[in-house]
Formats: sequence, C-alpha cells, structure tokens
Amino acid sequence: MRKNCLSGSVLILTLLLASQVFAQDRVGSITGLEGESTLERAGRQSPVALAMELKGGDRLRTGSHSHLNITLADGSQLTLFEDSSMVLGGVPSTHRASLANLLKGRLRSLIQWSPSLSSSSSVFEVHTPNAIAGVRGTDFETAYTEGRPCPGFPDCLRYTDVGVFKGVVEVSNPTSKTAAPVTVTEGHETKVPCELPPTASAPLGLGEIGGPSYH
Amino acid sequence: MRKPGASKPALLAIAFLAIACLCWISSSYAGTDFFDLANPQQLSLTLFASGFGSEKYGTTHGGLQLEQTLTRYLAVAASISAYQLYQGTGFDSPLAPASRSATRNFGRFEGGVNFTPIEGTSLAVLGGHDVGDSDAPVIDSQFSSWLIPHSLHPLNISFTLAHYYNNGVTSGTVDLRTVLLSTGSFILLGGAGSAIWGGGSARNAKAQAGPDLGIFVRDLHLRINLQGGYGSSRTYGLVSFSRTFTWDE
Repeated sequence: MRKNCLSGSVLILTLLLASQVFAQDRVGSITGLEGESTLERAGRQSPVALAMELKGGDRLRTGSHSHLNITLADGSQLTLFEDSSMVLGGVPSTHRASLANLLKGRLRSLIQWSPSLSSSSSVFEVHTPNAIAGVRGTDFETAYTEGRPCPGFPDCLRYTDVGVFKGVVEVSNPTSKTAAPVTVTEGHETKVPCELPPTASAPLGLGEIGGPSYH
Repeated sequence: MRKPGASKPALLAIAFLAIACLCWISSSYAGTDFFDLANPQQLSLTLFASGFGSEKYGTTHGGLQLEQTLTRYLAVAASISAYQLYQGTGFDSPLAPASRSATRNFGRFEGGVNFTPIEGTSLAVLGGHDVGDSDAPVIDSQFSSWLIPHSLHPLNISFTLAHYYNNGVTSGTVDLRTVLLSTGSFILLGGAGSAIWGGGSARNAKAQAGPDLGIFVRDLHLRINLQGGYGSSRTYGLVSFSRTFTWDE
C-alpha cells in the first residue's frame, strides 16, 4: 500500500514537473494567418498552420502578402507583417521578461501589462540587430530595415523604427558606444540608425500628413 | 476667357521647377535603388472634399485621387474632382468674374506624378483639363516637407502652385504648421497659411492669410484642416477633409 502511494506520488510529481516544463516551453500559438508562412524548429521547416503551438527558439518567416497573429501564453498578441522574420525567445510569465528577436520586417506587439509589475523592469522586449525595445506599456510596432538609406542618415543602410500607440517603450542600441536609452511615449516614435543612439522621440506617422490640401 | 500670354511666366516657372527637380534627382540617386520597382507595390485612394466661404464668394469641391507606386520614390497619380462656385471669383477658381450671382459647376480630370525623395517630403505635379463652366487646361503642383522631424514639434512647410488656362490666373498657397499634440489616436497641428493669386482675369495680385488648425485621426487615416483669416476676399474660412485607403499589391 505504502509502495503504491509512493509510486502514485512520484507519478503525480513527474506529471506536475512535466506539465511545468511543457508550460515553460510553450510560449504561445498561432491565432491568425494569411498567405504563406514557415516555421523553423530545430533545423526543420514546416508551413505555419492555425492553432500551431510555438516554443522558445522557433523562427517564423512570412512571405509577401502574408501576416501572422501570435497569442503568447500570457494573452499578449503579436502581429508579424509580410516579408518579416522573427525568433521567439524566453517564457512569457508575469514575472519574467520574454522577447522576440526581429531579424527583418515589421512586428506589432500588443502586450498584457499589469500595474502590479515593477514599473522599472520590462516584461517584454523586442530585439533587432541594432535596437532593444523594452516595454512598459501595451501597444507598439517595431520595424527593422536593411539595405536602404536611413532617413536623415543617408550613409546608414540598416535601421530600426519603434512607434508607440499605447503606453511607454524604452529603446536603446546595444551596439552604440553611447547607448543612452530613449523613452518613447504614446503617439511617438524613434529611429535607431546603425550603431548610433536612438533619435529623440518624435510624433508618430508624420509621413501620412502633408499640406492642408485646400485646393 | 483664355489669355495664353498671361500663362507664359507660370509655364516657365513650372518647367524650370521640373528640370531642376530632374537634375537633382538624377545626381542624387545615381547608383541607388531609385529605378528599382517598389516591393510591395501600393495602390492608394484618397477621397477629398473642401469648402471655402468669404464675404465675396464661396466654393465647394470634392473628388478622388488614385495613386500607384512605381518605385519607392515615384508614383503616378490620377484625380477626378467636381467644383461648384457659388459666386464671384477667388484664389481657387478658374472662372472669370460673373456679373450675375449664379452657381457655376465644372469637373476636373488630372494626371501626373508624385515624387517622394525622402520620408516626409513629397512633390506632386498634375496636369489636366476642366470640363463644364470652366473648359480649359489646368496645371498644379503641391510640395510638402517636414523639417526637424526628430523632435517633439516638427515643422511642416507646404506650397501649392496652380495655373488656370480658362481665366489665366496663377495661384499659390503657403502653409507652415507644427505638431501641437500627438497621441496614440490623433495628431493636432497648428500654424498659419496664406494664398496669393493674380494675372489673367484677376489682374493685380491679391492675397489672404490666417491661422491654420489640423487634425489627423490615425485609425481612420482622416485629415481635417481649418483656416480662417482676412484678405482680398475680406473675411474668409476654409475647411478640407481627406481620407486615404491603401492596398499592398
């Protein structure tokens, strides 16, 4: 009887540990998709399907005219736009930072944020090759561009744009010698050119506004 | 009333502007992706409407503009609009003054190019023909640029230049605006604008100026602009609306 109890306890403990490990490994799932996208896991590529579970280290690529909606385990939502590529990392728990490595293209992040979390620490980060956007807010977009001159910095051919729709995002460039972070508030954006620090926060989406067009 | 002689300075100015732009483009973009096709291509539709009211005359107009990208820097544009002039004449009218106060209507068909050399700067040159109570060619251009864009209060400067062959009038506007407030849902702009017109049936140069107020609603891609002031038409007010829809191809 005692042996059976012990075996049962070990089994339950094993199951609990296994579920914990599984829960930590699973970072989210695909909740929407349009067009063709691929998932690369442990060197193997497969087409992305709806409800597919995602794990840390998964690399997602979207084709032209395609986009993916990803819901993280904590309810946060990511949209990977067309011709983009990202690697998911970390585990989205309420007390640990999770991150997305954006290697190419555009990513919009709608992050679940709780006031109980420390306001000084980010719960979600988007990394690009030359920028880190640490979130202390909810809704922002990151775009990484390569092979085109950065507006305002014509000699720089790779740059990151971070635009904030809600909340606050702290942006820094880890490759910059003077990596002073810039705090970007709602309705504003910053640009991170090459190895330079982020530009000062400026109104978001000025490209959509021209003259008043009374003619 | 056509006064071909009166249009020569305007035509020369526009031709000079076009040649200067082409020289600048070819030297600035040699060896870059200027001639590479845009990927993805984009089609955009802008619906617009505006109204002008003053002590001397009033107009309304509305229409649509289709724009198709060719390269990242260059797009072709086509525009159809309908104008209604309630009485008199003014900075935005190709009609000669009428002795009677009757509403006059005309349509405008234009085509041209929109050049975006850098993010936030654009130059559009369109030409076409009016039909209806105005029945003659028209040419107009619009330039807009954001100065000190990496700041909390960037400055937008915009010019328009138009020439109406129907009455020989050449008209220009200048607006200078800054961002007063930017939130996640809208941008509020404030500044001042002016118009100057003359030649043809307008004869002497006339002008008007006043403060500008603009709002851009992000989710709807809707722009609303207001201007009020004083000038040759005495007290006046202007309002314009435009909304853009964009499709990646």
